[in-house]
Amino acid sequence: MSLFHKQSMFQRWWKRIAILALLLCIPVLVSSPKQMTATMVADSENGTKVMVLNYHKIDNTFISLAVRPDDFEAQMKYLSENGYHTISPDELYDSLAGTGELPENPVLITFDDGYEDNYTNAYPILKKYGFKATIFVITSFLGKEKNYMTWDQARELDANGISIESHTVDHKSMTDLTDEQLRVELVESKKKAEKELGHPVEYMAYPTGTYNLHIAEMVREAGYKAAFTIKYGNVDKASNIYALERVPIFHTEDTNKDFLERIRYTPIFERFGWIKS
Amino acid sequence: MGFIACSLGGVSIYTYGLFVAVAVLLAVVTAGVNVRLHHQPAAVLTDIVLWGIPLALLCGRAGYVLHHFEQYSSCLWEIVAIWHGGLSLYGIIGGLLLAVWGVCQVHGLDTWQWLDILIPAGVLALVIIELGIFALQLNPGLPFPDDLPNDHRLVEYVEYAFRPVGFGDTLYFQPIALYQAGLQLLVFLLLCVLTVVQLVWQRPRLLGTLFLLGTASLAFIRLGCGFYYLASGADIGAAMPLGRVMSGSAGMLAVIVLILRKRFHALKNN
Repeated sequence: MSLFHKQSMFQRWWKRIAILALLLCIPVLVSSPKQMTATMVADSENGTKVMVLNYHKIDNTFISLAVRPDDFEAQMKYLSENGYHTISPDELYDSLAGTGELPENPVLITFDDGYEDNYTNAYPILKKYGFKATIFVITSFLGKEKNYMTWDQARELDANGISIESHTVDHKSMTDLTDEQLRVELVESKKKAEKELGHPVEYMAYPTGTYNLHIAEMVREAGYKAAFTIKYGNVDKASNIYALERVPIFHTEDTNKDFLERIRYTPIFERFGWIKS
Repeated sequence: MGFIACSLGGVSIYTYGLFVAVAVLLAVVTAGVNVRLHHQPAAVLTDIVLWGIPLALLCGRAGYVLHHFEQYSSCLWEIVAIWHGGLSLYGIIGGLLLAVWGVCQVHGLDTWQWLDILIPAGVLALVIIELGIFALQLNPGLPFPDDLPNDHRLVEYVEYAFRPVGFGDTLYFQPIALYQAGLQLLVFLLLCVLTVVQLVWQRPRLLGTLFLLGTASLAFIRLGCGFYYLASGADIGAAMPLGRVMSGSAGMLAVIVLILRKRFHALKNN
């Protein structure tokens, strides 16, 4: 008979307990196959992931950029009933900079371009739920182009919890511009909005979402504190402050179902690239 | 997914460590089933696990430190700080093999037979660990272009702070660790089938065949996937990165040993 068959009950249990202890030691001892870097450790301290919703038009035209007012209201109702708290870009920035706290379930609602329906259709719904929001406006279009809000409307929104920020002067794709043109788009839109609103404008969104690290550097040089892309994802401390992710909301065959899927599963979609903006 | 899963009384619990612990647990359960199917004493498995875990950690750490000694030469106590990261997979495998060999030698058992019994469990553990590497984005593959169409192809999005140096503008990378885990899973399934064939029809008769076939498959999978790794060593001027040299050599060695053993076996029978 082999030695193993002769092992006493005590020995068998002692060995099983030793194996259990070794198994429990593994998650404490084994941190990474490579040497941990400061960034890897900091990842665990990235804190809350913030969802930044990205809308464009809120009206009944049948284009993907236009979410119907009924659907928009249903979405805001969902956020309100499910404990989401809207925040401003300043609150997001302070949180990322480590100088401010965020409420539970923070969400930043943003609109691109500055359409008039943001004032006529979205604003009353936002007001109904007591929500903050941010509109990135194309500064040369306001008060001049049809279907865009006026600066008076922008000022009214700005005074009532809706931040007005820059979406450049002309909405040109920034990767197609020279450095000089980029500077004009970034600096002049900032100046114009600041002049109209009477306070600093410190955030911008890239037109069509296109950017690269060189453009991001120019955004910083122009005096902006942060910039938003249309890269699908949630924002945390691992995000590039000049390329913050957003979750685009479009009109689809089932807009509200898609909205729910996006806000529930964004981190998974983002990580595995199932939805690419 | 964060590198630190949670903290208990100030002690960090690492996500990668949790993946490894689950991998070990599943491997022990799988090996236990196989041991029973082969009518072998479960106490041998207990001894192998008991020796295998510390030896795997020790050899894994030693392998990593030897390969990256320049990181430790100025601060030698860091060598023992295993929780700061750094474990060589080849070292871990070496430690486990040492444990199997040692236990078999001490108790007069056939090492090749036990390697055949344990190889499916070992491959399953590798699958889980590789999935952990994928989930933690520890090994992104080659970069995709930014204008990637939204066609639901599977890619790995790496957050800005974790992008490799020089890839700050690159959003998407090949999910090579996931592909590697998928291929390893296929090897596991193949070994399960071969185990059943061996138990029912006693084919292949030569002990160690399953182990050597499994080892060669895993090594060649690693070699092939290595060409899609972003951090392959080529970035620091290595013509043939060590991982590919090791895996290629291990695969070739397994094939050569298998052929030699088969020849020996044939000669012996004649």
